Amino acid sequence: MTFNLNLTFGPRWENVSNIRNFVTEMLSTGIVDIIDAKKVATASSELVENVVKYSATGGAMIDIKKDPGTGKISLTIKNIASNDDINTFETIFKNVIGGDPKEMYKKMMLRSFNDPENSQLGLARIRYECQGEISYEISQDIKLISNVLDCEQIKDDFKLLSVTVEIPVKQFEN
Amino acid sequence: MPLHIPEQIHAKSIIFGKGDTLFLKGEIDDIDPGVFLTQFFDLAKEQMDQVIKIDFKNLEFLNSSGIKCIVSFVMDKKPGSKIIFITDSGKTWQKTSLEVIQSLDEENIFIEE
Repeated sequence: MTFNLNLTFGPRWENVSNIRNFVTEMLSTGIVDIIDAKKVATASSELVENVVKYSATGGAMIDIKKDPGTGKISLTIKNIASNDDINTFETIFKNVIGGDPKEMYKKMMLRSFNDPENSQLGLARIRYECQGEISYEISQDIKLISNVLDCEQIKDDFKLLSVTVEIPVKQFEN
Repeated sequence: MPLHIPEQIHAKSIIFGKGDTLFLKGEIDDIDPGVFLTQFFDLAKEQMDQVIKIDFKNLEFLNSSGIKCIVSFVMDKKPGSKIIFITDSGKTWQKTSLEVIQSLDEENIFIEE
């Protein structure tokens, strides 16, 4: 069965748990089993936290897809971010993306202790705990999310950041 | 000396200390959970000399900022003290994240179900 969920939300802290709980409940009603539903929900929670912390302006979007036969759920979060925040994200991404996921998670835990202001646990957690394969894209198409702002005015300083996580899920018979 | 930390409700979580165990229940997903978690960990450290047990079994979710607090707690424990995590392996986050935390100091951190 094909599944596609698309939500637009305001980057407010209360939406972190709202989205996590909604994703868990939605996916566990016949899409995947509860363990996989919670893996996707945890990844969405960590990414939405980042959006709330760093989203520059406007709304954000979450898109969850499951195509039959792929054995994966694709989770994408899009938000408008400043060039500085995008640079920060790219640095974090490069730091956590290589190596064995468990060893990287452990390394980032130690780093969070030695350098608490520069924690990079969220993406490392997604890689290990959720078995997520993370990728990202940057584009100028900020109108995709925000049509209320003067896009011409802000387009040089802000971009659209799309982070996608592919999470393997067990085949589930409804 | 038994642990005595009165029950406190914080957002969607309940925390208290009883006997030899600090109990965490519910969900912890604050923007900075260290603001309230640290006080409980400090009390547990003060009141328990050798072994601190933390019962996570009924903690459904802990965000990565909360995991950072647990890491800080175990890395800053008193020399020679032991920490025991009581977990529910049916909860993925406990099976994965707490196992990795335990690997930071395998001689002094233990996991029980």
